Amino acid sequence: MCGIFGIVGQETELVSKLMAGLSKVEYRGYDSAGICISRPEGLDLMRAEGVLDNLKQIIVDMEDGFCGIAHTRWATHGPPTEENAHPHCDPQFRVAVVHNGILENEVQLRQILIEATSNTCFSSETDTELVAHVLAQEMDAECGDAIPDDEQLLAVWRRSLDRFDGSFSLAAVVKGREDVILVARSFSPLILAFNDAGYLASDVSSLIGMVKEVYFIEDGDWGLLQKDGMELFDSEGEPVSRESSPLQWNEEDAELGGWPTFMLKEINEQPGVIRSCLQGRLSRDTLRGVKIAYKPDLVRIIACGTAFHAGLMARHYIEELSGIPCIVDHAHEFRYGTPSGPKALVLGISQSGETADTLAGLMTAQERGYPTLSIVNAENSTIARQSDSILGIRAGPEIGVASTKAFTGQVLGGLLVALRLGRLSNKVRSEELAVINNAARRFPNAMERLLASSQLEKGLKRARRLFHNQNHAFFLGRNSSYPIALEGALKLKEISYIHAEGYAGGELKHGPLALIDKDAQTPVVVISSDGIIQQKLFGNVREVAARGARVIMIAVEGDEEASAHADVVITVPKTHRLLQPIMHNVVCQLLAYHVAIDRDCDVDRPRNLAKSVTVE
Amino acid sequence: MLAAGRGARLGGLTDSRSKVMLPVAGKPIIEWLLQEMVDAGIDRATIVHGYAGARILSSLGSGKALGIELDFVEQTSPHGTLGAALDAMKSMSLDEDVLILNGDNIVSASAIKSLLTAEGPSLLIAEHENPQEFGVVTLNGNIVAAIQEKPASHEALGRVVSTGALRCPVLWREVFESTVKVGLTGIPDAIRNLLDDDVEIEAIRTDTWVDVDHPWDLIDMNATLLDGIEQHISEDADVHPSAVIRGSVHISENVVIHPGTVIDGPVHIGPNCDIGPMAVITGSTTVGSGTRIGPFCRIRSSFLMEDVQIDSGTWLQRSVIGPASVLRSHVHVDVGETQKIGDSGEFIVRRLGLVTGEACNIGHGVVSAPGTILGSQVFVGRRVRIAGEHPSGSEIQSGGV
Repeated sequence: MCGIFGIVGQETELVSKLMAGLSKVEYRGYDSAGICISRPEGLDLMRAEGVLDNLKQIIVDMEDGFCGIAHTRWATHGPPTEENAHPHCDPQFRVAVVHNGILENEVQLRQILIEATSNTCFSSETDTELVAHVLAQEMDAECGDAIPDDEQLLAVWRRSLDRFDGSFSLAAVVKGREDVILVARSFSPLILAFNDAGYLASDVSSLIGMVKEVYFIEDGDWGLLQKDGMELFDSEGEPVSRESSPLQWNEEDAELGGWPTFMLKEINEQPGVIRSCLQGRLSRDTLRGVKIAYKPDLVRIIACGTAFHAGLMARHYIEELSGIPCIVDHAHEFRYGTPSGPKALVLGISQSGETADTLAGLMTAQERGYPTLSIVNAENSTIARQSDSILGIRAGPEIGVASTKAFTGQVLGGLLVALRLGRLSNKVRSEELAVINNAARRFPNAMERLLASSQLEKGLKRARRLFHNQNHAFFLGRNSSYPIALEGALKLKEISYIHAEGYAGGELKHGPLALIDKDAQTPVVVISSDGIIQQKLFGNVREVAARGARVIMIAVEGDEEASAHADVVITVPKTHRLLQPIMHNVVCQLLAYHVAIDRDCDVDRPRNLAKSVTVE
Repeated sequence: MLAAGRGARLGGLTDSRSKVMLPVAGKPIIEWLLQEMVDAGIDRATIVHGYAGARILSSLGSGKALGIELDFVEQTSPHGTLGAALDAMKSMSLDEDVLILNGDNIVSASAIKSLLTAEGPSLLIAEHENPQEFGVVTLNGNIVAAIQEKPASHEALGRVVSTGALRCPVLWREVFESTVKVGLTGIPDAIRNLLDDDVEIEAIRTDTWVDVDHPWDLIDMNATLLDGIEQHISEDADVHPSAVIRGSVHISENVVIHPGTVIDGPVHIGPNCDIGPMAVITGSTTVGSGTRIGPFCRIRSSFLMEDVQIDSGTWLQRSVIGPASVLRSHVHVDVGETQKIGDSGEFIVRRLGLVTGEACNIGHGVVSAPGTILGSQVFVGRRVRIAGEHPSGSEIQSGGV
């Protein structure tokens, strides 16, 4: 949430480079955007409400400079207006600040600032403006109106940071010092990099194509970024140096190419994601690269949003394949709970690896002595570095705010963990691994056939019509298709703004059935299951159909009975039982996508949301 | 570049992708052609996609990796190649010339250059042994005199055919439109109209044209493209010291070659393959990514697509195996002459083994007669003898032919 980007030491095209970098982190927030160039004569500030394009229109004539910072905002303090857009300055325009995160001592700070100078006025409702005020105040104390030198800047920055509590990554430019940017990190992500200039960013995606390697700075790190180096200190004030790592992704992966949206691009990338996720891990009858040292008595999964649904799938796999009990919690619930109990393995799932709640949950678990394993996409992320071991899903950069391909990777990651636990508990034999491996080899092709099938296209065309003028929809599943029902409902609500709920079929009669509205012809999407559960689910389908719902059934090819119960049937290729829900989910993704497009929604930038939830 | 067609004559091989996306010799046909275009100095192209267009978008991205800037247009007109060309030409400036290429056959950089440097409208022509399957061109010196699509009596007309590569003014768009209006859909139809109006089109000859029409053409295209590869063994490949790698063999990343395996080039092995022990692969063979080849298999002059599984002791020659297909142990593929029916009658295909579509399952001990062609998801039970052609979804449980 909130993307920051900055460059120092850029000889040419500073503004266009800042905008290019900012556009790559726009998915982190698009309520407003702003840019500030530091020039010898002063700070040049431009901000605009709304998406980045609005800012682009007003900066066409902005002069280039040597040093600048930029920000795209997901509103936390105050509405998304131009006044509340970053960067924020002090009243004398000596400093400009961009910020990702939340200051927890905002109220006290504001009070202190007001008491200190009676004529203090704030031009915004943000916590970030306080940073600018504090910084300017400390600078005034250190060197008056003079331009601070390096030593003074570091002292001022240190004293300012000591006054902030909470989570933040900060970057600040200072009038008269267009050779440096002040940087600091506390919980929220911040990355530094160099080529012919010095860069800072919230996320590697804005640096793809600009640099070859990046520095992930640690929590508590702060200092100065310059054209060709950085002066960093840890939270104790000791000088530190950080190792660089090569960029995991290449430029092509983060570009739209010929696609209309990132979401559609990413949905179509899923066959490739399956191949790369399983590559080298499942080969012949062996399982490699899933590091779990011993058999736990309990697995506790923590995640949020789509990753939480992947966690529910993982629970099915783990309990079935290893017999080890498993609990899935929302990370934000887990971290304030009182987890206790037997020798547990704590499994965190996060696409970005920066999800604040999941990170905090994992750290809570570590404090209590539990080993932690994380399933992440960004392998250099904070969660990846904080966990005892990681399983990278290798999905490539996911830009669409509604997660699609990462879910598929996370579910496969869950399957790999379950297989490892199954081996550790002597429940999965090598023959079974070979069978799953052979099925997994054919799985991407089956998904490719689904994506290219005219049956899918026709089915979606009929299904999306049922959502016309609807305000509510339901998704039903049972057993391993229940998490898919939840995920299908989440996709639909987050991008089409139709209120959608996923239910386990058996739960209907206990309440939700009352919501089926005969006159409204409420659409109900059913994700078929297999075996005896299938019959039970069909029973639930009859219940809703009898009450006037319009049923869209997602079933496997050749399932004659499924078509008898539905208004629209969309069939998918049959694959291994454990993999089948992933295939069903692709149909849910596409259905949500097309319904959203029919409603003229911006699927890559759904309202109020942002990717990578780095605030609590 | 026209890439909207399916390539229906390739049967199950084009179930989930269009012909241009078949990964011959390690990369899609369209990428081979784009490489020739880049080598000829072209820095921007518009790709018209249609059938399974998503695969094209996923694979090519912005074109940056290939060194070319790509625009994409989805074919909306139902009028064949003419409609596709029109869709792409809509946004082009009328005072320029356009080069129209088919994405599914490969013309060399030098041939493209000669079209680019020609004085005016020009058509690339080549000789073909089955001219009746193409547009046969008659010449008047180096000027196109007539073009006849798939003629019945080809012998009188000669063996010179149109490759479909055409350089022409964008202005011809109007002729294309009027041709479409009378219900004709091929670029040769429009050319015929132009010739009727005495428009001069220069014929430029090439001898490096590789086209794919039928599945067996893939075996020849594969051999032609593999001819030029260099030996390369990825640092991330794990090749056992007792394996023998000879000649121009390309081994991609994360490939595992088990002990005693012999690979005799030209052979291209895609990423993430697992081969051997004691397998023998000889030229000209492409092994698609993620493929697993078990012990004691012998594979020769074949095109294996991605994610194929071949268990132990299987014998395969001059064959095309579709993606995600499984050949269980001891499958034997016979090779020989076979008679096939084309658009203009029967013809003989020399030396053909087995062709499978996507996700076929060939049981243990199956014997396949020369020229057997299977659609997609065909299931063949163990120890069955198969021959002839079988449509997608067939189940061949017993028998023998």
